[in-house]
Amino acid sequence: MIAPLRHLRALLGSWRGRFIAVFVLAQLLIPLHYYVQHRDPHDERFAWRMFSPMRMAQCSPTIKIGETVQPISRLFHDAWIKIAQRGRFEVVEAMGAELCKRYPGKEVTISLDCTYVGAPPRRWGGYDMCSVALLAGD
Amino acid sequence: MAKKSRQQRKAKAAQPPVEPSVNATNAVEAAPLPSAQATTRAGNEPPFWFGFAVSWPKLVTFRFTLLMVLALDAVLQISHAPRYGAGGFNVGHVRWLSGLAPARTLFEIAQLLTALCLVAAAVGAATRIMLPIAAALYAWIYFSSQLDSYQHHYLVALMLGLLCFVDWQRPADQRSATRPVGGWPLRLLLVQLAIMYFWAAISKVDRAWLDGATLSLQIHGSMRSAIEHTVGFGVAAKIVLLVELALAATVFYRPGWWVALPMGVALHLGIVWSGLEIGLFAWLMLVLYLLLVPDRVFTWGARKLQPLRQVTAHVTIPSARGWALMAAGLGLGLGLAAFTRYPHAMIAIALGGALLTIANFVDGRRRNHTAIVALCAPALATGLWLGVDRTTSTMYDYYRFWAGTESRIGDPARAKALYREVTERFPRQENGYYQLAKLEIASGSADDKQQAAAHLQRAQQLAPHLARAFVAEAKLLLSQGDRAAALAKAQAGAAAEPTSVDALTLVRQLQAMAPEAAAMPGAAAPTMPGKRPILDIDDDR
Repeated sequence: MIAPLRHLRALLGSWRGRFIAVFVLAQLLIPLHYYVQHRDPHDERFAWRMFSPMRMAQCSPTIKIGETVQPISRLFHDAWIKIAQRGRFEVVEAMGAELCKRYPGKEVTISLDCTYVGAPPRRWGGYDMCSVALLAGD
Repeated sequence: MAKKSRQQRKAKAAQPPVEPSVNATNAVEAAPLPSAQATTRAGNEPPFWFGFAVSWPKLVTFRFTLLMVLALDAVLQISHAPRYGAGGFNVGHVRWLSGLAPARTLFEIAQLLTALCLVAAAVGAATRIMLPIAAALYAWIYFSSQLDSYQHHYLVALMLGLLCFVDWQRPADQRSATRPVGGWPLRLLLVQLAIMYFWAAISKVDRAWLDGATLSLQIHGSMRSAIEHTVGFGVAAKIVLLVELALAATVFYRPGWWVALPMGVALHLGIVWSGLEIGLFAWLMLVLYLLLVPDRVFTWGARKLQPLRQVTAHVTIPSARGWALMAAGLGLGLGLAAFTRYPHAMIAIALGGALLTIANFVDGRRRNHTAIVALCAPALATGLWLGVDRTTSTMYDYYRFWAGTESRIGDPARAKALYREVTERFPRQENGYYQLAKLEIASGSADDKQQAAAHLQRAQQLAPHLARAFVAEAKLLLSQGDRAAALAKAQAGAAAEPTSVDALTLVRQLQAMAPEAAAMPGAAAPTMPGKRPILDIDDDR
């Protein structure tokens, strides 16, 4: 048997070895998820993308309830607004869901205008989040 | 000949990596080879993982330094407590944990408790029990809310989980200074670091990084000018990428440590120098590099500290008689906690003390002696709480953020009460008086406005270089119909902070106003064409 396979077989022979194998594999594959199958380019969690160009993205969320634009700072805590300004879909979508609950029967329109380093600006959303809960590009 | 040489190399490769200094420092004290331990304990388990070991002095130095830094980090996080649960909104890193996230009070208690558990584990007080508790608390706080989005806190959560598997028990024999300990969890921790560096490098294979544009947006201060006047950001960005790749290839493997240690330390010192606001990340990484320092440095240090060791041998006591000391440590901890300004410190010390007492009882049954320092863990932990409270802005920020949160998305009356508390607890801070005055003005009652004027004057005394309290008082005076006094106040504001646009604009607006226009108290706020109303106070700094 070739050496790496022998090593792997020996490793998988104990619970500690199996734990090591699962841990290493998970740490190699979880970041890979960002590169091969991500819906949100801004969400770099668990991908070890420290100081990456995407981290410098700046987004401006606008919330409209019915026909009125609402100041976001009166709706959510600053810390959540800062995360939304980094463009994280999961948080912006949760904000939409929360507002749909708070204002039943009204349209909650959220748009996210983002600028990037070395890439053109993009607009995300811009439609009623109570009808379509997920953000997508225009 | 070549075949023989190849066989020799193979035989050598089959041996697990052994730190030469561990065995070479003192041949008489040389410990059993890790390979021997690996084969006796685990048969044919791969020596790369199971033959890895470091000297006890290195392990104990690493444990103490790392866990104390993490304990400090936990206490520093308390300033962010008011954001937890604010507005009833939360999104977890792990969706099903979203509903289990702590709110402000629980967050504060959990961080204090985490710090206590980490301090206890750092000084060897029931480490094998206290460390898993700290790891669980840490993982709960981190994964239940995206409010903490520091990637290095994710690393810490993983790391604490791995460290739970390390055997932290001091070797019982006299040769403990050179006996290899630790094992696979430490190797896995280093492999984790290598994987992190690898992916960090991959994320930088991007034109926006390679041309230096991203780096130039992230670096400020003296480091920025140093880069600009030397290699430039394009070259610096490529160097960072290469360093991360080199660290990914060397940090987990002992022969590579000679490269990884200076390179990694330089990289993370550079991050400290760059002034990036990323908490204790760079310091945490520097502590992790202790694992890469040659063992002989620690064994040499341990030998030099041998006389001290003889002293500490006298201050270890039979565990059976440790209860009195444990009670004293707990009493001291309660006393110190009472002097802190954390609202729920007494609950945290009561919970932590109870946990530690139970853990000491369970753990103490398998050991004959316990170091006194371990019995004093509650006092050490509360000493850390008190130190952070009195030497950093953590608690000031806590109350300020709490009041600010209530003011924006909560209850204004509560916010007013909280700002009043800020002025009482932190009477030298201008912000509390200024924000309280803003709320008092907004409430509209004559009494409140009178108090607001007094608070604004106090704010002006405390921060004579800031214009905002002068401007606010000028607007208040104007709303009461006293244009002349308002103008004088606005001019004082402009003199205090000559760059203040608000002060300069107000002075111009007041100078342009006809005196009779502002002579009626409670008159509608006058405006200049294209400007916002003069009476608006909208400064949340």
